Amino acid sequence: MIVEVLAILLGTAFLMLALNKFPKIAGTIAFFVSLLPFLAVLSWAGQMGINIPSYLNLLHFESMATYNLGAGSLLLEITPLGWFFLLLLASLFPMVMLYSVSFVRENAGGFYAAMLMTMLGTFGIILAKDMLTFFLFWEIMSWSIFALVLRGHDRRAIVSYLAFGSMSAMLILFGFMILYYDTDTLLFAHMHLAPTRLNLVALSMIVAGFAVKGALMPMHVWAPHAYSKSEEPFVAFLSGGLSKLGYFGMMLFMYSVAGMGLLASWGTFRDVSWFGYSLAVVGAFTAFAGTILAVMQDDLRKLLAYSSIGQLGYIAIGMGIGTPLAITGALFQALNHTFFKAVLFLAAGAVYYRTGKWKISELGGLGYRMPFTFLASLFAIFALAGIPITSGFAAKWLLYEAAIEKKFLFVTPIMLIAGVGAFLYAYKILYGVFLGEPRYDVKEAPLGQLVAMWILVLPLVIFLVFPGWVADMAAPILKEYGMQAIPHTPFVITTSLGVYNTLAVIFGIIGTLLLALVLYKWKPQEVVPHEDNYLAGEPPELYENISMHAAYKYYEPFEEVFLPYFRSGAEKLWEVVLYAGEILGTGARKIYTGMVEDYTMYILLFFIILIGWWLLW
Amino acid sequence: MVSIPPVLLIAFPLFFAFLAPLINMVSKKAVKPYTLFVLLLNSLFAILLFLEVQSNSVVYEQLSGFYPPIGILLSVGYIGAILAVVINVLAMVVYISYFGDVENSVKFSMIYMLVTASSTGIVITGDLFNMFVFFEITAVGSYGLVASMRTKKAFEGAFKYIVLGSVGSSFILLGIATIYGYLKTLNFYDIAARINTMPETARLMAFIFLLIGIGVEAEIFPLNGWVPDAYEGSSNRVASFLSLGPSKAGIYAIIRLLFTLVPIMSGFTLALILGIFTLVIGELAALKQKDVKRMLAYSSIGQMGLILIAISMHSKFAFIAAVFLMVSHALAKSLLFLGTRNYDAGTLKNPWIAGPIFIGVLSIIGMPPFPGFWGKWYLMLNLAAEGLWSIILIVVFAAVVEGVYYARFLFKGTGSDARSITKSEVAAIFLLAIMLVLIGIFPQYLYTPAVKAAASLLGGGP
Repeated sequence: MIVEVLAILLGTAFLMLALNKFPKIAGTIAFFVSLLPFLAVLSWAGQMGINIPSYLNLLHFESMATYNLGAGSLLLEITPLGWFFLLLLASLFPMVMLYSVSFVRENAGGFYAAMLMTMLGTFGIILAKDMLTFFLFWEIMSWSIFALVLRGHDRRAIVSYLAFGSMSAMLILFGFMILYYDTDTLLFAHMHLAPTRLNLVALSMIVAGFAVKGALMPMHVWAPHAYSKSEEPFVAFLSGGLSKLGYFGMMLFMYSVAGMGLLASWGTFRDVSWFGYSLAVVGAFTAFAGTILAVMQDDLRKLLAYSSIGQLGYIAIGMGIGTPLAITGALFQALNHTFFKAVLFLAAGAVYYRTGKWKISELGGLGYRMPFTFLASLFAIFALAGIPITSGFAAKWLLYEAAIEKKFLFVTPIMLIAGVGAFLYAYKILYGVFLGEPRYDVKEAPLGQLVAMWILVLPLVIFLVFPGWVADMAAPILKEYGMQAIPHTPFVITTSLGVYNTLAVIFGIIGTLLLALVLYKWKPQEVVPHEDNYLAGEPPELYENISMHAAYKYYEPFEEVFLPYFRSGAEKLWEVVLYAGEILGTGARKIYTGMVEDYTMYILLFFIILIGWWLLW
Repeated sequence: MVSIPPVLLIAFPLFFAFLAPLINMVSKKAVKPYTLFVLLLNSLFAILLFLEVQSNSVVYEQLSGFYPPIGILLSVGYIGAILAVVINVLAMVVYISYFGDVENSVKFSMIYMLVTASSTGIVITGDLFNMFVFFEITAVGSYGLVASMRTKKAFEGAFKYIVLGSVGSSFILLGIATIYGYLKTLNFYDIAARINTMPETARLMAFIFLLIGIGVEAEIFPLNGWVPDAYEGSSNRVASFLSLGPSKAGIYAIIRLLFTLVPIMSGFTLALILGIFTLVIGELAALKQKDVKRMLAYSSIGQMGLILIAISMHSKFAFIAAVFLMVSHALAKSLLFLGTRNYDAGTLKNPWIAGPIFIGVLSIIGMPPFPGFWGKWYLMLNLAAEGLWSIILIVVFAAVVEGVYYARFLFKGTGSDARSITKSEVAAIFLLAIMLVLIGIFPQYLYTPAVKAAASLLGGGP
């Protein structure tokens, strides 16, 4: 059934092109086809030690498949690590498709075709058993994304995605080739890497290549452009789902292919390999810088894009530290990020769908008009900021503990600062977009969009109550790496620093909220004029009909402090690289002078050089 | 199975090319269907010949009653059969794009058939002088095709092509003279058997002469000065045809020279160095181009460099890679040249044009599941197995540069301004795209012949 799924996805993609004129029909068909990978996830759950009711097991999927190409074979097999990531992507994907039915209008056939190809690539990457299969599907995925980015008609997004996309592909390919040279095999399972310097280079290249997709700094340059200039359902899948494939690849190569022992053989720092520690530092830096940049944005999509980059940094921290606790935390964060970021992008899309505006300073008060969209994004924002009404808290808690456990004095504070920074921009979304003065008389988002958002909110609540389930899913992965799962029950996770009891947290927070409510109701209220309040923010000069907007210049002092350091950031670095390329290009072009006498001279010179070479040999 | 005499592949279009004026006298409208029919039949012959070569072995045919090595010999080897199919089938598909065009020149159709015949002749001949004659016909025909636009740029491009082409031809002639002077034979296999009896210096001189002469046609740096101007000056359809016919014939001649005629190891080293220069300079020069046709022309130069690198590795996998790269380049580049007439903001709005162009770009950059991917993958595997990191680095660098300028190219096509190309052109690029997809998804059908070709050439055979 695995190869059949690939064939069905491919066939439906072609069908979508034919249905270009009928967006609704195309979208509905695409939605039903997009459920297939999720059925596969359910079918494999038993093998991963997850018991699900048998009535959910609709289709039987064998656990491995081979497709002979003559010139090579596609080898596919499900692993615990792959299953976890497939769970995230396959549950996100149908919801994104459902959302798209009411969202995508223009050239819809092309949109669905490219989306299905993206899922085809994802499915193949996750099941890949050897480097050929992995790379082949990786590129299919990458290029389908490119087709979708192309729909945004934004020059910076297109060129930066393609430049970084091909750089990432080539780094990965180069790394694969070094591994092939060392081991003489393409199969992951047969690779027993020697602790040589060459293999260190190869692994660094591969991880750097995956960092592009995972939007780790300084390889993130494409992400803000692509995230902010494409259609929202696709961005929700790109940022929420596909960025995880970068981290899947890192885990696959760092821990499944290379292994802890090999990484440690290149030196360790407090029992964590230098390799992993460097990744954790890069992740911490990304979390910090992404958060600061997010706070400064006025464009809602740009804000979400930078926030996404920041939150992805946390996953890298966990993967880098590489203890059972840290890996569980990283997987938990990956799970949370998938859902909350998707909900936020989808909610932003719904806002745009109704108002046609992206600038936060032009929005406001939509919570009264679109209450369900508002509530869904509220949950997502809680998860993002790590407030314990959703599972976002648990993931960050585990990651903090993992860093504290190893006494990482550099990584831990940065993580904490970035965590607080997330509150700043979360507040900006919440207040700037949904609260404050109602400015638009719009309807609630279409039903399909709401259903998609609310289904995606569910996991955030479920895993708040049962954080132990994530530890359950992490257990077979850790077992593969020769590590013990962290001690847990569905409600309680025990670490070396203490016990995380989710029930205590839930009751604590509910109690506090009730207390706050009582106090708030008890206190006498008074109505004050608009300008006379405790909020910062300024009246936007450009829009005369509003008196005040909380998100406008709200963080001006903050920006004044940080902007100088971030203005000449990574983009400048890459512009220098691009400029060097241009200079080389001009040089090469000058060889072709356009003068036929020069060209004839080249031939004769070449002849003379060759003769000279032979004579001197 | 019907046995096709190889000479038919050359004689058939040659004969009917000269009949074309007669057809034109009867009915002006009949010339295009007539030409297409001739090309279609010739492609069928090529495919039958290919199948025969695949199932049996090399097909030989001696002409004019003399036995080799004195008589003229045609020998269709494995690689020759593959390229004969590529050239004939693609020439036919590209010709489809002429339908529906107001211009109706019988001379053009004649030259088109002639160049197809002579390019095919290069890949199936077994005789050095024969090859030279076909090279001349191809070159002279191509000058005519380039100039057929009758614009200033077309004449400029054709002029540069003529000058450099003639210099190249004289070098080939010098090479042939050197070999004939020592060995008194022009038959490939006779030369190959006795090349070691030639004095060292003479052998090297012959190699250099032939390399320079063929290199002009095969677009190798620094002999390829004519390429950008000739491609820019010619119409898109001619550029498309040039990149599938004459340039492939040129590469075939390089393969013959390296593997059969003068198989010396330093020749392979030299080819590798030339390949690297051609690749890097071609790709970098493409980076700065504003004109789409010029950009594609420089990209062609880069691709030729890559093919040359693959050939010069002198190993089975690298040669298979070269076959895939040649097929990918022939298909994708002719597709891109055809599809980019009137290329402007909005071209990519039309899914029937956007789809093929996207596929073509992906195959050129070497992305799965298209033939270009398999080519680059095998080349990389081979380079990695031998630990040639510096060359991998160069290939990878070139691929990134390629990615950047093709991104700009695709960006140029997005927008709202709609300009389109004719229906017949769309049909042609669509057919080419389908071929790219089929070869990409079922690489085994090209892989098996490529393995045979590689084994045969590496064993010193045809």
